[in-house]
Amino acid sequence: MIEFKNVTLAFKKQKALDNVSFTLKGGTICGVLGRNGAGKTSLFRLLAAYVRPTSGDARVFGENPYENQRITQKVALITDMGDEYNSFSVRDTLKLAAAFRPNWDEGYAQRLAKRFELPVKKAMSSLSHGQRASVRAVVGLASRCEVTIFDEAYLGMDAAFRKMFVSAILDDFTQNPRTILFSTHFIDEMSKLFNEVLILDKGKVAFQGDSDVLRQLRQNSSSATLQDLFIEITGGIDNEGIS
Amino acid sequence: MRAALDGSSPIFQQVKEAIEEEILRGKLAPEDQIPSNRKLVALWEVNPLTVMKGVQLLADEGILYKKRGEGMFVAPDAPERLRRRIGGGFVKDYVEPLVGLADALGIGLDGLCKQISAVWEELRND
Repeated sequence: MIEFKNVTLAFKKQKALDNVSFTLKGGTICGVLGRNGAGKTSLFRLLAAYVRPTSGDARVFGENPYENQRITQKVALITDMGDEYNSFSVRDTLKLAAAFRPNWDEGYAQRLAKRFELPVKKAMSSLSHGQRASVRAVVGLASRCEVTIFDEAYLGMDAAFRKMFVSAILDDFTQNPRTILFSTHFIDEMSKLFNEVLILDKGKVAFQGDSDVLRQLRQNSSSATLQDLFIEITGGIDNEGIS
Repeated sequence: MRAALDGSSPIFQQVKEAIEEEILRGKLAPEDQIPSNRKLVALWEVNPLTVMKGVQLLADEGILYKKRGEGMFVAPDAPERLRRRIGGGFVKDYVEPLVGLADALGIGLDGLCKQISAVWEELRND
């Protein structure tokens, strides 16, 4: 369903993704993990057709997503930023999303808006970081896109809202199976959400597979937590040159 | 049902064990329907496909069976089967390491028996 063949995305000489190949069958919640600069956001921007590959072949539902409305309307990318200068109200922001998303569920959006205590009349720019994150979470969930990508989307939410967000994803995914990609640095907190994991390291795929395989790896290694195992897989922390 | 999964062993395994525990404790009796996937997902906050994997393993073993359009039910002989399976490994998995450890610590057979009796009484009085 998502198929990358030798995909490179370069900015001048810097390669954000370096000859990456992988296939995701979809219908899962896939954790996309990687250190800062590993290429997670680049991968997502390719899927959501914000950019096109420098070389190689990136396909979603068998098609190139770039400038392809059939595909782009099926892919929602929710990030941790934006809307700081958006003078639209929360209500209008939701209306706008509804207009672009063929599977939008208005009733669900309203129930979520209540649960996340969204101030619907206020301008997006006047909200707190966490409230804006909640609006984007509601947009991402209610869009019911075949491919929904949450790129660190909960940043700014407090622990209670984060928990609610995770519960909402799980409950909605149970009733409306689709493909959800979810990037996070809180691996141990979020790991129960995933059944599949893709780990990127320096623009390449370092691990792909069932997240329970990762757990078995951890049990057989010296790592105390999944986070530790993850650091081990991605080459550890480079302490040279700090002191 | 166990309220939380600890996240250390594979989660499908923990899902399976949690349901087995319910059956062994008699909280899920033969012919009872197990909670829906949705309820288990909400209880443990885990991926529904992972829950289904654990449940499917129990179905493969004949501990649960599926009624079409209704859900998963506890097989009539499930408690017996579980006791036989877990009991089969009891000496090897629990007694042997315990005796080995007691011996290494210099706790004699009498001492070990006394400690077991004490714990036994304590747990039964809870």
